[in-house]
Amino acid sequence: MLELSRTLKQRWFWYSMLTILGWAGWALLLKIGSEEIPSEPSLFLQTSGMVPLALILVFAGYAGGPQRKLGIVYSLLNGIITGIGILCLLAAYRSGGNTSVVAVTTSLYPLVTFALAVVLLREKLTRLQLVGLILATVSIVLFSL
Amino acid sequence: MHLTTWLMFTILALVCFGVVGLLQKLSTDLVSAESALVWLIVGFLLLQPFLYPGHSLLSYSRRSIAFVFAAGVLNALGSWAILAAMKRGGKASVVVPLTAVYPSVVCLVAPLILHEHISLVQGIGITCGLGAIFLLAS
Repeated sequence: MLELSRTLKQRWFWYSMLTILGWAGWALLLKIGSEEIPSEPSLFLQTSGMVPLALILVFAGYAGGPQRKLGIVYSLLNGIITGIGILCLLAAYRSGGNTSVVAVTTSLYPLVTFALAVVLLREKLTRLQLVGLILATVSIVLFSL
Repeated sequence: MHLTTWLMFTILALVCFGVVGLLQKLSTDLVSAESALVWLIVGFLLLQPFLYPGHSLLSYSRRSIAFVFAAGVLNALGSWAILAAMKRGGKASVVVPLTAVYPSVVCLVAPLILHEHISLVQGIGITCGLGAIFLLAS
């Protein structure tokens, strides 16, 4: 309980909650908008929708500060690899993959991140957090069925 | 071992999405969350030529275009927030699974907005998702 109350005072936790709200809104709007628009034009439009925030951050000077080249490379790769992942996902559906199997398998990505973070970043989780990771995985799998 | 095409693409997608979580942490160790988001979007834009539908987008209704465009705005906001979470000390191994439970919120809100019903499986998913948030924050 002490750990929980400490976490509730941490800004990273509330930013994570904002991510959940942002992505939940994204999924809801996409559900409504994609009834008519197929996947690829939809992705094109979604990416276009991301541009205004980038422009605001650039022109308001928030994207300034020290720019480490490696950080920029990682960030660029972040966008490119996400895009490639989405294209692979669409290709999997198009080449005859069972919708549920593809959705459940790809939804397990937090486990890949977890494994990489433990091995490469030497991150450690408490026992409770490990149980949380398992619960999150179960939750994600249930939603992708 | 012979991998079918769809399975190969599925595994590639899984690895890509998993690696992205690591890159988010690595990038925010070196640049601000805002800068990381701007370059992330530049990375996305490099793939736009492959996604361009090839015919006028205006053939779709304005309503649908507006909804999908707005979805992109919220996706950017969520992406900025996850980068900010990592920049402010969140571990990749905690933040990525934590934020991946966002479908719990979708399922909670969908009955109000889309007039959908929550199935038993989704109800269990919501419970697990909320439990995961509680435990990952511990």
